[in-house]
Amino acid sequence: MNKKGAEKILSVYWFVILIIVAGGIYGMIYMFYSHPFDIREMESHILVNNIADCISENGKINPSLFNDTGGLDKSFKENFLARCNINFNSEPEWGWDEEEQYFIRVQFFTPQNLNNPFATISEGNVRWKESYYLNKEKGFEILEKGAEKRFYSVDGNKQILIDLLAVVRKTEKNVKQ
Amino acid sequence: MLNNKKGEIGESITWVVATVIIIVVLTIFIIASNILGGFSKVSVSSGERTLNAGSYLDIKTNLALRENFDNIKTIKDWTGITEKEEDAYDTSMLVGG
Repeated sequence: MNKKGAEKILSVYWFVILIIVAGGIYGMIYMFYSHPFDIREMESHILVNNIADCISENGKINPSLFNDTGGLDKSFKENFLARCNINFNSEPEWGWDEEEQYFIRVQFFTPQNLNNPFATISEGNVRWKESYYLNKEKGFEILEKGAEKRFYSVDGNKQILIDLLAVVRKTEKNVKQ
Repeated sequence: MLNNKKGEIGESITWVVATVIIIVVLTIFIIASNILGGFSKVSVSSGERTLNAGSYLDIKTNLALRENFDNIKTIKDWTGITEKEEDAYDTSMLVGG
């Protein structure tokens, strides 16, 4: 009788151990995969490359970008996102659909004046720009991430240097809160 | 009778210690998983940037330089493209060069 009782207690004990070990394995997997991959930097690089494709092809500026006087074409500037097949729509979670999660800026320079752009296009939420520069300086993971790239293109005989900036917020989905 | 009790206590302690060891080991593994999970990063690197091998935008710059390579030093400095000696830009390869 005593032996039978001990066996019963032991089998219950084994079940408890089994649950503890299973819970532990679940905990390990959960902990490992609860850290999201931060792909914002990669996303902004892709955005920059797409904008560059829209602005310049085969080293030459898109002919509809500038007007005859050398300034930005008004229609192109106003419909920049549509003309470049870009949209800033985001998932409705965390109120992203109410506040744009992206910012882009395109600046055009001449080799003779690299300090002041002769034309600028910017779209999206300008707030993220400041956070991006702060993040770049201080390295805060939680702040916005982005990409700033430069390239050269020609418009007839005119040489144009282009500075592209793309910033992505989407912190909630890319950084463990 | 006393010996029997001692044996029972000894056996119970063995089981309790075994349970504690299992819990401690699992906790260590959970903490380690949490730390290892934190290293999951996706980094973007274009590697060495030269005119012959660089990022996507460097290729665009290279193509534009084939059209017009005036101010080449200013352009390279501004875009951040470096030039290795063996990759020195051969202007004879440019269109019209």
